[in-house]
Amino acid sequence: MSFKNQREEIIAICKNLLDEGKANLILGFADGPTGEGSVPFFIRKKDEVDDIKWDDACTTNLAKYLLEKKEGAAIIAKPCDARAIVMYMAENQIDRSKIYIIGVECAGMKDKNGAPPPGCLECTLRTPPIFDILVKNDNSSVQGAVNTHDREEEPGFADKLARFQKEISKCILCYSCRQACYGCYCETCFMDRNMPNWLPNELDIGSKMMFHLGRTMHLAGRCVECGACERACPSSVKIRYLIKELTDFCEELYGYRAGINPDEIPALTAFDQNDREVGFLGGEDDGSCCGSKG
Amino acid sequence: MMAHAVVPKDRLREILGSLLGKYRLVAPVREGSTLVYKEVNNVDDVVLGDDIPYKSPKEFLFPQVEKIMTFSKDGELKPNEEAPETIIVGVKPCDLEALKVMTAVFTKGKYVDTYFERKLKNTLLIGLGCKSEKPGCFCAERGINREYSSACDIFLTDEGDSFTATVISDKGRDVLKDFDLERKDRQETDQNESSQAPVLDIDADENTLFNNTNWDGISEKCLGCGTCAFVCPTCHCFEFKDVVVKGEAIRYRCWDSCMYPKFTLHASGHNPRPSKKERYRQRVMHKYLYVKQNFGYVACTGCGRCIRSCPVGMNIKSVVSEIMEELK
Repeated sequence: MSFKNQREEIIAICKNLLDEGKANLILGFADGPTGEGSVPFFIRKKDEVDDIKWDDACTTNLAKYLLEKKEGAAIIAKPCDARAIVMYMAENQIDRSKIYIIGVECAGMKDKNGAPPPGCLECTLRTPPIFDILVKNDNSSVQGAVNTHDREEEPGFADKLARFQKEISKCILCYSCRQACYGCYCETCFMDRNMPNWLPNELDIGSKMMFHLGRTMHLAGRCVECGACERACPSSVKIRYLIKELTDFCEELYGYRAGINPDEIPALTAFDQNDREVGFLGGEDDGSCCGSKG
Repeated sequence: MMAHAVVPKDRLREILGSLLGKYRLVAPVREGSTLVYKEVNNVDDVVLGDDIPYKSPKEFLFPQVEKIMTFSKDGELKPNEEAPETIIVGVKPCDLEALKVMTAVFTKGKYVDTYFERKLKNTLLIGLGCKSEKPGCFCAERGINREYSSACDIFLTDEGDSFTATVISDKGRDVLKDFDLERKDRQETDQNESSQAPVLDIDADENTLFNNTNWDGISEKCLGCGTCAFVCPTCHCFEFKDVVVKGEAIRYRCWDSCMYPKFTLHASGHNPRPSKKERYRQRVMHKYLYVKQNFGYVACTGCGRCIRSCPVGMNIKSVVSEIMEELK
């Protein structure tokens, strides 16, 4: 089924939901303000349903709005939105019984230049892991997942540091990546705390490292690879590769992939005496993880 | 009397190159896929095209983080009076208009901000007209002529192989006087500042706007990321931070944004703007009402940056149109 057919099905489902009073709000997509891309769309009335957009520009992760709309909301969820919802369930942030998930199979999104947006290129998931109703896509020409994280090609430590610092030199510390991220929902972010003050004062590389490394660590084993952080960045900082590294690390070491099974305990929440302790003082260091050579 | 000169594009590069040693040169440069105002060391990096940098050049007059003074234990206070002689080239009419707003806010009110004033005094502005309207731009609706502005020292108009340089101030004339440039006769009427009234403007009293607008609905999509404030050419709110280092303390001034929860958080724990509704309301009312009340300008020049940078497509143009419609 093409995007067009999927859209028709989504519209029919939404009309039904509003008719039957199963939802008082539907989170979806509409055309962007400049004619390009899409924006989140809050649908409350039946006559708004026909303005729903569903095509390869619907990149935004809508799940974060569920933290505000905890009851009676329905959400049009791509696999990455659905993975975020799974994490909200695993982290006890939402009540699954109070939301309705319109799962939509995703053939891959495109940015305004026609290239796969951040996250899409490596994505292997075409069907949302969780849904109440599923809108299928039997288009066989889905983008194949590309492994952008090649350990063999990995540079040494100094080169890695140089790459990281070069990338974050563009950062203006506006924290839009944090605001766009499904996983950054702390009431007060460590960067906003002033007792003690975590944020160094100059707008220098140290402050930027502090923020990005801190955020990366907080997302270890939690990232659902939706790419919202990179899409939100006004300065085009490509920082997701760092989190991707931790995501792979977490999957390799603890067999945990975020946002697939709501009943599974997230890797950093679970403790097992037999957990491998790569990188810990006195722990193993077999060089196979985290690209620790170099 | 304004003078006009023809400056072939190569020649402009040469001129900028020879000014490079004497001045800090700031210009649009490419950084990957983005265009941004940066201090340049090589004139070949300067991009004077029709594209608009994603951030405004305000940071060279009002830095994101500015060390404003140091003070020692025994009470000695040293202000940081650093204000390098700077040329900012390629400033678009919307940003020149925005600098009028910034100048009013920082120097025409009850107090004069000497840090901004010093930097402004040492800065030469070279404007550059826009040929086309970019997605998200709405300067025309804000009554701004995208092709020309006299709110600078020299204004460049792209003529293909060359620029027409309109020399506006004495400062601009002094900088160019050592370069032998071909004069150009030009009808002054070619370059009229827009005298059109802006079609996008809110004419309402504070209470009506505050109470009778659907701020809940308008702000619903907002993530509160504050990107709009960082790319905006007129956002000027700041906070102070005192940092104690060995034997002395440093006071920093840093950009702040009304979109952040901490912006209005009181020491008591009370926050008068607890949700994005109040915060977004403040953003719109500050831009379209409060600055107008205090300084006579609307603090939105239609540069469209916030619209282009917003991750969820918040659109101040359609928000203001919606409000105007509601107030009718």
